[in-house]
Amino acid sequence: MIEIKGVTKFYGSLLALNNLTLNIGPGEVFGFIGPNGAGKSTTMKILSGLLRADRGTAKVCGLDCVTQTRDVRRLLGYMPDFLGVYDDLTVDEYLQFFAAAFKLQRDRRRAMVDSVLELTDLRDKRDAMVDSLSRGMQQRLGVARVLLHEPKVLLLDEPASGLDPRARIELRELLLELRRMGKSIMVSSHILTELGEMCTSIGIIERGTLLFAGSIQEAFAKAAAGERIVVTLESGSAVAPSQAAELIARDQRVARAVVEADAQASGVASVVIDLHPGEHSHHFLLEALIGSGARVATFTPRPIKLEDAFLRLTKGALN
Amino acid sequence: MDAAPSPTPPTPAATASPAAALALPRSSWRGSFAQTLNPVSLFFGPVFTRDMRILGRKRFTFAARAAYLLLLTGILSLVFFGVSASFSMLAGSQRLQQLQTVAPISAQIVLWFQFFAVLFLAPTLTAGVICDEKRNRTLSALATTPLTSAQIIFSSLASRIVQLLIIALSTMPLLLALRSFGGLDVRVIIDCTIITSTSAVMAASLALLASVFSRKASGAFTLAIVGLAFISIMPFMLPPIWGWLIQTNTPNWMLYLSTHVSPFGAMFTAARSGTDTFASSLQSGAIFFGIGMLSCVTGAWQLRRVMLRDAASENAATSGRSAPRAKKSSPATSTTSTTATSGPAAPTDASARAATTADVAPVRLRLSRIVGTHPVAWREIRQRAIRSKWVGIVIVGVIALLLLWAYIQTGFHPALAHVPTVIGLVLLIVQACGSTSSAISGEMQSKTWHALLTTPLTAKEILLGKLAGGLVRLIPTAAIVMANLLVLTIGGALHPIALVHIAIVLVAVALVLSSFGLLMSLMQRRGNAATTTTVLAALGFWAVLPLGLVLVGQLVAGVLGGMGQSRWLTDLALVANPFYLIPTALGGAFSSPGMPASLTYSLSIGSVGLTIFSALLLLGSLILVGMAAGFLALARLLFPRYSIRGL
Repeated sequence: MIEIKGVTKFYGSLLALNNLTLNIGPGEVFGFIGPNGAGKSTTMKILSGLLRADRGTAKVCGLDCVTQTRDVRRLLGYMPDFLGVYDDLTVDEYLQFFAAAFKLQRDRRRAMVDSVLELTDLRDKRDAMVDSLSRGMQQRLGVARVLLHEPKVLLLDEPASGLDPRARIELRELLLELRRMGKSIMVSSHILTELGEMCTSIGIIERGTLLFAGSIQEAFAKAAAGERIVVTLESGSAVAPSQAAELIARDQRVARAVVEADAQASGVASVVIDLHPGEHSHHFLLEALIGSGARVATFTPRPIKLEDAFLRLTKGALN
Repeated sequence: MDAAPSPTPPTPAATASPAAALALPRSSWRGSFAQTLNPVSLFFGPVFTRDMRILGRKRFTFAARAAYLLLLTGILSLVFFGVSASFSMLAGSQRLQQLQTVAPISAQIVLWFQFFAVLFLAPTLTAGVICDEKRNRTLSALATTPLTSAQIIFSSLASRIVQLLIIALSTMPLLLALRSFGGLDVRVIIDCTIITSTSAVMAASLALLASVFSRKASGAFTLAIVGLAFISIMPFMLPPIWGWLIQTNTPNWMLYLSTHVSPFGAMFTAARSGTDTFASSLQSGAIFFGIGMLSCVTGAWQLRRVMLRDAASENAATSGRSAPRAKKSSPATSTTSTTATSGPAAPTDASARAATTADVAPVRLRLSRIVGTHPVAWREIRQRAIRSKWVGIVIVGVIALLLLWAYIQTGFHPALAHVPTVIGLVLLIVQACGSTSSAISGEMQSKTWHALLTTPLTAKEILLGKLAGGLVRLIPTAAIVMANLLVLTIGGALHPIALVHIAIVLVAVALVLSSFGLLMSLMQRRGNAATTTTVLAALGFWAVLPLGLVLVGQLVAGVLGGMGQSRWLTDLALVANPFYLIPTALGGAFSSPGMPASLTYSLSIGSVGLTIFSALLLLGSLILVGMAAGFLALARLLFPRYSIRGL
């Protein structure tokens, strides 16, 4: 659905995008991750036809974003990071306005407005003035706006920025609903846990360079971030935590096994075990520990989070 | 048992909304009062420093100064060469003597040019001060600092006055150079400088006051110009009104008003050489300065109220609660019908989420209207020139009563056609300069522009929609002018053809200025700058160009040795000039209201009949309409480049 090939963009002498190549398939929810000024918004603006790339091509559903801009706009819904609203319109008028801008027939317009109001849960605010809505409601209205013309591709730039926790949860549910509807979505966010829950793939960009693009599993694999298990031993255990860690570390499936320093200081011995990426059953660890005479108090698998993968993938990547 | 750690209470600063922060009591009224009276902190506070830095960083500031000097030098050169060319046939000594007479005229031109330029530039510089802060949502941030409203207002004024001073001082070398050829008496220069500088303070202060109350800079600018026009024209209107009403001699205080309170009257008095007008100029200066300071004090007094309202509305937007100013709330009567027949399906847990957020807070409600097929035009057409319907009705009512009184008093005097029509034309021009000049830049500032650009709307649709809105907002002013002429026509004083003539000219003027304003709105970052450029263009085309062409004509005639050969240039400029066409059209229609064949129109080329005048008027209007089409075509051409600015 989205095909970006070798896109480079300069703002004056500043390199905003450096030979970016990216493909996003149908029904895919692509999380675009990166610090401020990394090039996420620039990429989205190029895709929506607002900006032109200095080099390279960007296509949406096979249509060129520069030469077929108007056709691309019909297929695409773009929500910018800051949503300005017309302070003289009601919610209903605002949506009608954009429905008319997207050339929807008058009889179809009413149905679409009702439909997106229902979807975004703004039905009760139909006659509210847009500027008097809360920030969360305005963001939902922004999503409603981009859904009016039933686009195949959605570009959402920091949709959760500045929202309170409840509004974020609601927005996440809305995006999951859109994912279920089969839309291809490119969403940028700083809140990685949320992206991890709703995205099927991610891209990590820093200073205009795409460091990674692929599924979340691939990201973990590339970041060498497998599963983590924390084991605590009873105080009267025959095997000291350090010995247990040494024993476990010999297994090829284990990347690392260390005694947690803080835990040692507080008197509760914990062994932190990082497994290599891939599917692993955990029984081999328990067997090894019990076999060595260790008395296991707790055995807790802790999945590696997207934040960890992000940090590992971006650490020193551009140096 | 350990006590559970109690959560740290949040500090007021951390939790207070901008409105609440503004409402916090001041630390000490004495300290605040002393700070307010301290001229250094009042005029040269942080706002002054910030504004000076911003203005000093802008290329436009330097370009405007250069353009001002170039224009002035150009006009002076034309005058000098034009007049000196006409002396080419004279002998050497006579020629030198004649040249000495040129210097005072040139100095007068410099002084008057400076007066008009500074008087016009002052409101353009200050009209956007508070409006832009409101639009950029920085006003509440400014309000939470220890700065007082007076400091914000007076520092903003001071920074702009410095800019005007730089412009005014830049003409000094020219005036001094002219002194070496005779020039003008130093006292005249000082008197004129007093009038010019204090008038500028007054104009800037009026615009600053308007900026406190207006939402858009263009609106503030229009208000300031109307206020300035009122102060300038009203003292001259009072004596005849007094004469009509009281039927006795005009009292001296009324004459004093026309020579001291009207900036034009005061400048005219000061610019007359040969009389000692220093005391008179000082009095006028004190009056202008006083009006300016009164405007600033009123502005500062009202600013805190505006800040509170602004902060409250920001707070409302954050929380979803209604702002205090929301008066037109109506019950949510039309919120029940939901007939989703096509499109995306609703999520299963929608009702659950509705319970959590939808009813959190009341918001401002209004019955929704049906949007038309051309959404940009639909929205623009519904934007009012005057926000309050009742204010509009009161204005129209007052004008109607004034005109009615004038009809009764004068019995359809020709001045009743000329004066209201020319005032209406000036108002229409001022309004047209601002009606579209913030149409695009305003959307860019409000961040609604990019959403519009991602729709399939074409540049043509957006531009024409904006233009339609701008033109519709001009209809009330034009309608008042036409209604007055219609009454005069029905009363038998005016030939009906004048209605057609005036309507054509007004439409052409509205079209050309709205189109140019739209082009400027696309190219300029701020609406205020776009308005300024549009007004300058109007002044240039209808005031400076004819004058320049007269001078060029003189130059050509001097070189060729015959003055008569130069007239065609001036006539060409005048044929598209509404200030020439409208009085001529009215003069002709008043000359013989009965038979069309007997209508005569006095043009610079001589008297002509209805057919020739109509043809000339159509030609002039077509030139203006052609220019409008050219500006729109240029805007469409530049649209891809300028519309994505700021991304």
